[in-house]
Order: sequence, then C-alpha cells, then structure tokens
Amino acid sequence: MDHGQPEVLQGTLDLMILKALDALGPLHGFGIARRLEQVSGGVLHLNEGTVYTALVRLAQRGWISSSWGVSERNRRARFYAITRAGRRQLAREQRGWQQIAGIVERVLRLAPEK
Amino acid sequence: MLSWLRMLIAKCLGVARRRVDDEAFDEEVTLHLQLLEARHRERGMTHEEARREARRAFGGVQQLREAHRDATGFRWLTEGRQDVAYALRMLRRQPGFTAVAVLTLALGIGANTAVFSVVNAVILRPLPYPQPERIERVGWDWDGRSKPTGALAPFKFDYLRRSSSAFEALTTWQFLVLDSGSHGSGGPVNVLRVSNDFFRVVGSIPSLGRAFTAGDYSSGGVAVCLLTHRAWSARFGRDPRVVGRTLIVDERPLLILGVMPRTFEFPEVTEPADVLVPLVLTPDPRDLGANVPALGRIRQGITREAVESDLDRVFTQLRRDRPEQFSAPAERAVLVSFEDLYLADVRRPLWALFAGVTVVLLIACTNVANLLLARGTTRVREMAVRGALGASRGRIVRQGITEGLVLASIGGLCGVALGAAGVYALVDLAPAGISRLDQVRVDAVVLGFTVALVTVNGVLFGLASTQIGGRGWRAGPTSLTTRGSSTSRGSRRLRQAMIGLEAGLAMVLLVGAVFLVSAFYRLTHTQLGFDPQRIVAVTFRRTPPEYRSPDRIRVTEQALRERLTAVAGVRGVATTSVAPLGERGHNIPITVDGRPDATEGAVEWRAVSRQYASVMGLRLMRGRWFSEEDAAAARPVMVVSGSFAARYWPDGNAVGQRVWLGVFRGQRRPGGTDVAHEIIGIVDDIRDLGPTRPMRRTVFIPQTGTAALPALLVRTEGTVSVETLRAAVAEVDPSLPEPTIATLETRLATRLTRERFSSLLMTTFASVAVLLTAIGVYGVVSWIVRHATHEIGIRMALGATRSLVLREMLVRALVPVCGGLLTGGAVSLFASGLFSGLVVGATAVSIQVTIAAAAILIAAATVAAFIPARRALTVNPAVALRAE
Repeated sequence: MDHGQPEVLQGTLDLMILKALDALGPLHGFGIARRLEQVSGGVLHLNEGTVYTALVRLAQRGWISSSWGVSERNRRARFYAITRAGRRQLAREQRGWQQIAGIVERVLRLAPEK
Repeated sequence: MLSWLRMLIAKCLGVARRRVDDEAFDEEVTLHLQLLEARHRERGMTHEEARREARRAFGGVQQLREAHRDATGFRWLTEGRQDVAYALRMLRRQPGFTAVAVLTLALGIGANTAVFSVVNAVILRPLPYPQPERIERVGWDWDGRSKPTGALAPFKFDYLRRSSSAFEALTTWQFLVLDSGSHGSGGPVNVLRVSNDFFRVVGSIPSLGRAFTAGDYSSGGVAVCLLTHRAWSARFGRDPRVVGRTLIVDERPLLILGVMPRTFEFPEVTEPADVLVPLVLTPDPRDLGANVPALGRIRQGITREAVESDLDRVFTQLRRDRPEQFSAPAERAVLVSFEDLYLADVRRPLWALFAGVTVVLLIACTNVANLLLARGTTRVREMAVRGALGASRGRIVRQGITEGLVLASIGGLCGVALGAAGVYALVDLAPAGISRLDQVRVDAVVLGFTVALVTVNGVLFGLASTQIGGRGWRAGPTSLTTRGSSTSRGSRRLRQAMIGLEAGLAMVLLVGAVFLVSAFYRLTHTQLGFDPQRIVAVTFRRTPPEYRSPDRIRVTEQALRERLTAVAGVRGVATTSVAPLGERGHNIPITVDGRPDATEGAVEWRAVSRQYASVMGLRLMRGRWFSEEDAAAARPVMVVSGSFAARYWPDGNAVGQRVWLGVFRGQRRPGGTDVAHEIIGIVDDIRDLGPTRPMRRTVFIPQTGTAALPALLVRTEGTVSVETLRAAVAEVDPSLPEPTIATLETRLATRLTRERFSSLLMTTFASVAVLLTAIGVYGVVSWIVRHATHEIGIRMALGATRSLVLREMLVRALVPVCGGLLTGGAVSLFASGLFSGLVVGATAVSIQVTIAAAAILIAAATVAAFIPARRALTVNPAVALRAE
C-alpha cells in the first residue's frame, strides 16, 4: 500500500503542518497552505488539496484537533490546532530530521579519497 | 499500539458518519477555492483566470475526495467489493468449473446441514424446562450390574414422593393412544396422563384456563382434561372459548379446563401429546409389575450427590420396613439422565452418521481444492501480471480468499437449500421412537454451523488457489515467458497427495458401509423359529369399552376366526394375545411348582388359539400342542419354548411338570393364576420380537377369556387383498374399531427401520465418497496426461510401447490411491467401534469386509484413471515434440 517515495514527501508535509500549527496557533486549511507557501519561499510546489489529506491523517493519529470557527471573511471554517501528543511527535520528528540532516551534511562534506 | 487503535476507531467513526463528513469536507474545499480565487483577483487577474488558477493550485477535487474517503474509511471495504465482483465474473466465465465445484460443495454442505440439524435437535438442544439442570429422572437399578431402568414400582414411587427431602416435587405419567369422539369418530388422540405434581416439575402452566387441582385427582369428580397447543390448533382452531367445552375420549366426556402454552413440551414421551388428563395412583404394595416412570424437580442448591444419598436414605428405610419389596441386595434407586434413558441408543449412531457426513464433506472440499489448484496453475500468468503491475502479496492472497469465500458461499447457499430438503427426507426415513425428532429443523444454530463451514472452506480454497498463483507473483515478470512447467512437479505431488487423502477417507466410509450392509443382511436372514412369509397380522389398536368382558371377547374372537377362515385363499387363522414382530411383548413372572428357587421375573407370555402352531409353523420338539378340549375344558396346560425347558429341566424331562404363572419369590402378582399350569409340550425357540432383540424364554397358554381384543394371524395361500380382510372384519361386527392389517414381512421390516436407516445412510455417504474420489482421480490423471504430453512424445519417439506409457500413467494415479487405501483401511479397523452400535450384531470389522471395500475402491479408481490415461496413447510424438 505504501510505496517508498511518497512516504518521504508525506512525512515532510506532516512535519511542516505540525510546525506551522505549533508556531502560529490554530489555522484553517487555507491559512496552512499560505504558511507553507511562505516558508518554502515558493520553491515547494504541491497541490494545496493534499494539505487536507494530511490533516485527516494527523487528526486520526490524535496529533491535531479541529473545531469550527469563523474565518477573516466571516465564513464558517474549520480551524486546526496542535495537541499535546502532536507537540511530542513534532519534537521527535525534529530530532530525527536534524540527525539525518547532520549525517547527510557530513557525508557530502567528505573529500574524495585519493 | 494505542495510535493504531485510535486510527481504527477514527475510521469506524468515519464509516458511520460518512455523509456528515463528506459535507464538511466539501465545505472546507469550497472555502479554500474561494479564498484562493479572491487572492488571485486581488492581484489583478480576471474572474475567469482567477478561478482557473485556483483550481490548478488546489489540484483534482475528485481525486482528493476519494483519497479523503479512503483515509476516513476502510480501503479494504471498497476493495472487497471489487474482489467479490471480480470473483463472480471469473466464476461466470468458467461455467463448467463453477458447476462442478458448486455442486460438489452443495452436496457436502447440504448433507452436513441436514445431519447436523438432527444432531442439534435430538442431542445438543437442552431440555425444554425452566432450569433444566434441576430436573432428573429417578430410575431403578435392579441388580447393580445391568443398565438401570427408567421406572420403578408404583408403591416405591409413592413412598419416595412422600419421604424424599431432596425433591421439590416428583411426578409420574402414562402415555396412551385412545380414540376420541363418539365411536371413535374423532380419530386417535395421544393422551398423557399425569400425576398431581406434574406442572410443578415441568415448570409450565396452562396459558388458558387452569391446571389440575387436588379435586381433579379425586375419584367421583368430573372427568377433566387440558389440551396441548397442538390439539387446540388442530381440533378447535385455537378457539379461546374452548374452556368449559367437552372432548370425548375413549367414549367418556372430558371437561376441558384449559390449554397448555405453545412452548410446553414433554420429550419424555416420544410422540407429542394432544390431551393431558389426571393420573390417579393407587399404590398397591403387591403390585410389583407395571413400573412407573418418575421425574423430579430437585430443590434449589442441592447437588446430585446429595440427591443420591437422599434416595439411598429413603430406600434403606423402606427396605427395613418392608423387606419383601426388594428381591436383590444391590437393588437401589438411582438418578438417570434424560440422555442415558433416551439418547444412549441414538447418540452413537447419530454421531457416527455425523462423522460419516463430515468425511463426505472433507472429500468434497479436497476435490474442490484440487480443481482450484488446477485452475491456479493456469492463473500463474495472471498473478504474475498483477504482481508486475504493483499488487502486493497480501492483496493477492486477500483476493484469493475472497474468491474462495464467494465460491463457498454459493455452494453453501445451495447446500442449505439441499439440506433443508434433506432434513425432511431424513426425518421421514428415521426410525420412530427417537425423542424430539419432530423438532428437527434448520434453525439459527444450524445456520451458524453452516456459515462456519462455509467460512473455513472459503479461506482454505482461497489459500489453495493462491498457493500456486503466489508463485507467479514471486517469480514476477519472468514467469510470463516460461511455460509454467517448473511448477508442475510440485503441484503434481500435491495433487497426488490429495487423491491419496480422498481415497483414504472414502475407504473408511466404505468399510463402514460394507460392514453395516453385511450385518444388516445377516439380520434379515436370522432364523426366527417361525415362517413370516404368507402370514397377515390383523391387529386392533384398542378395545372399545363395550368389548371389555371375557364373554364378549370370546364370541367376537370365534366369529372373526370363522369369518376370516372362510375367505378364499386363506389356509388358516389363529389368534394370539401378542402379534409377532410388534413393538413389545408381554411378560410375566413364573415359579416352578415345588421349586421356590426356580423363579424369574419376566418370561414372554402368549395366550394363543389352537391353530397358532400350524399357522406360525412352530416346530414341536416334545409332547403335544393344545387340543380342542384343552380350550373347551379350560385345562391349566401350557407349552414352553426349548430354552425355557432347558433352563429349568436341563435333563429334558420338562413335559408333565407344573409352573405357577404370575408368581415370583412366593408372591402372587395381580393376574396370577390360582393353579399351576402343566407343561404338555415343548416347541422350538422363536424370536417373535424380531431379530434385533435377544432370544427370550417363552410360554404359551390356550387363549382364554381375556378382556382385550386378540390379534389374528391369517396364513394365506393365494393372494388375499387387505380390502378383502378389512371387509370381512367389518362384516362380523361393524362396531369393531378399524384394524391394522400388515404382513409379517412388513412388520419385520418395521422392526429393522433403525438398522436399515443406518446402513442406507452409510451406504449413501460411501457411494458419494467413492464417486467424488473417482472424479478426483479422473481430474488428476487428465491433468497429468495433459502436462506430460511432451514427455510422452519423447518417450514414444524413443521407442516406449503404448502399454508401457498407459501403465505409467495409471501408476501415477493408483499409487497414491493405494497409499490412502491402506491408511484408511488400517484406520477403519481401529475405528470399527464407531460403526458397531449402528446395526445389532455388527461388532467388529472383519478382514473380508476391508478387502471387499478395498476392491470396490480400486475398481472405481482404476476406471476413473483409465479413461483419461488412454488419451495419452493418442499422443502423436511428432506433434507433441513440435508443440514446444
């Protein structure tokens, strides 16, 4: 069911959403999409719809919660907030990423052997 | 773990809230699109451009919605639906395979369903009383050795009822069939006479009207009755105003007090009752003869052990007070369970039949699995393609199991239909007198059993077909190009093992069937001591009240005998108190005159007319038979059977000795004679209770004035129709009840119903098993031949003869069959105990029986293997080699 390559993207997307909610507090789907666009500096191109798939996944794991509220234009919107379990998960993933990033960096910095 | 559980709950909730969820999702998406659009418009895009750009940035809404559904629900639910549709399509595309598989399964599952529903109703279902564990039968152990009987002397029952502290209530009953309506116009009714604590014991009271009260049991009161639900429906159309009306039973009007509820059952009697009437006990201490059954409700919280010690206490006291009531020191009251009383004879045969039918199902399943394996090899390519396209192994196995389940379910559905029909056939065929047989039906428990069967089958089939297909998946795209011959050897072994298994299973059944049929044949050819051919028995089920005087009987008997003798084709007519080959005999105690120790409690007793010996064809061994004068002068004479004479006069001088009838250990029973009877002759032993019952010592006395209509035995020469005899009886006296007329051969067949039932069923199972095995062998051999075409071609090109090739092909099928046969034969020799209870006289499986069974099976397998093996001979080496 799960195939190698999308897994990485999926994990990355989940991590980015958790981080956004952690930093900015409750957001609706559109707000999250804007935040992702902003932090990636427009480099990350993804269908904004996939955000919603990720949100369902995160909610099912209990890492985020949602409630209905009113958006800036007075429209009913669903707001998502990170939960305590979500923060723990975020911390875990951050550590994991930093480790990998460190390893990759060291590997890339190695001089070719003579 | 916890998050896994949380996911599961979230998904289940998702399935439940599907619509609400979908709406909320749509709302979110719409808002998102509108906000995006608005943002693009602010940057100066046109309305149209903004909308297009928003949709592009968002991605496919429909795909997203599906992904969302997947995430919030169960993917396999959707996939399962696809798999079922695919499986159905596959089955439709191969109608031949589907028909054979479904038919085989339907046979196996149907037979299982039918037999299990009998096992369930007769053996497994609890007794229909509230708190049935507190209900126990009290029986009597006469000597501490033989099986206790389910009844005790009325005097002892009454004593127990009054003295026991362990029982809340104790009741007894009597079951009889009487005529209803005036002059029997209402047909026979099943009457259950019950003593006064009956309703407390069974825990059921009338749903309409009232139960019997003390007043109903006193003599001189109005005769009353209760209707069962069955009689209320059949005779009164469930009229609620039935209470207070009367029902004439045995020419006596009974006031209807009420109606028992529909749930009321009394399985202690094997036929459903129509009417309940009060049974008044007159406990006569001299009456040791007709014992009564006893059923008690044990007080709350008292253990079986406590009840048994209470029984011992009560009867130790009685033994002290009235020692003459006991004849053996080991005699005692015991608790006997319903099972021991009614199911002991039935349980083993039923389980044996169930085992038999299970074996049939196993063979059927093996056959279907074999078919699936054959198909699996052809599907290797399909699996390889699917694997190459990204299907996971789990996904392919799941699909295989779905296919198996679909196949098994279709087979199961047909099987249940077959089984429901089979149940009626079974109940029709089954011998009478099996308790609760009338309640056999396909109910929820039976259906649950069938569903379990189907599920197990389906999963196994699925695994069988993916076992082969899985190889294709593992091998991946490479197996797309090879010819699949690499898998042949392994699956050939597997399939040969399967026909070996089938042959083994079939062998066990076949040995059982041959064994039972040969025992049955022996039974039907037992020497009975008389000649049952050409004798017609005319019996009366009841004696109407106006006939119950010795004079009336004597006159009627003589008139009947004379009238029937005059019928053309009749050679002789005799009368007897007990017609041969009936359900029960009639026994009395005896004591030899002058030898108080030469006494026994029960010898068979027949009051017969002078013609009895000639009509029955008895052989006189010594002395003489009754003469005209013996009856006329009412001489106290008797003729005894050979075994009776040998028991008391081993030196052979029985003639001239005297015997007291109805006297046991110095006590005269009611109905005992005032004078000792003189033995005037000895006849050869007869088995007039049928070949399944042990030989009994028998005494004959001349027909004297009894108060019941005797049976008439008519020996015919030509053909005499039943109608002629019936008309002759009616001509003598039109007010006589309708007689039952049957030849002794018919009556003999009735006595053997149980044996015939068992051997017929076992033979059916064995035939089906052999047939299925033959089909299995046929399938495997044709498969082997098809896959060996190339090999055969080479060998024939190298000079192998046709007969050698043929032999080779036969050996490939018959070696595993013989292996299974040997194993099955060995198993059945050890398992012979399973069959031994089914037919009287069938004790141990003999070598001859095993050999006969093996011969049948080998013959069937050889024929089944020969037909497809011959096809190997038609192989043209040149063509086979080029076919590469």
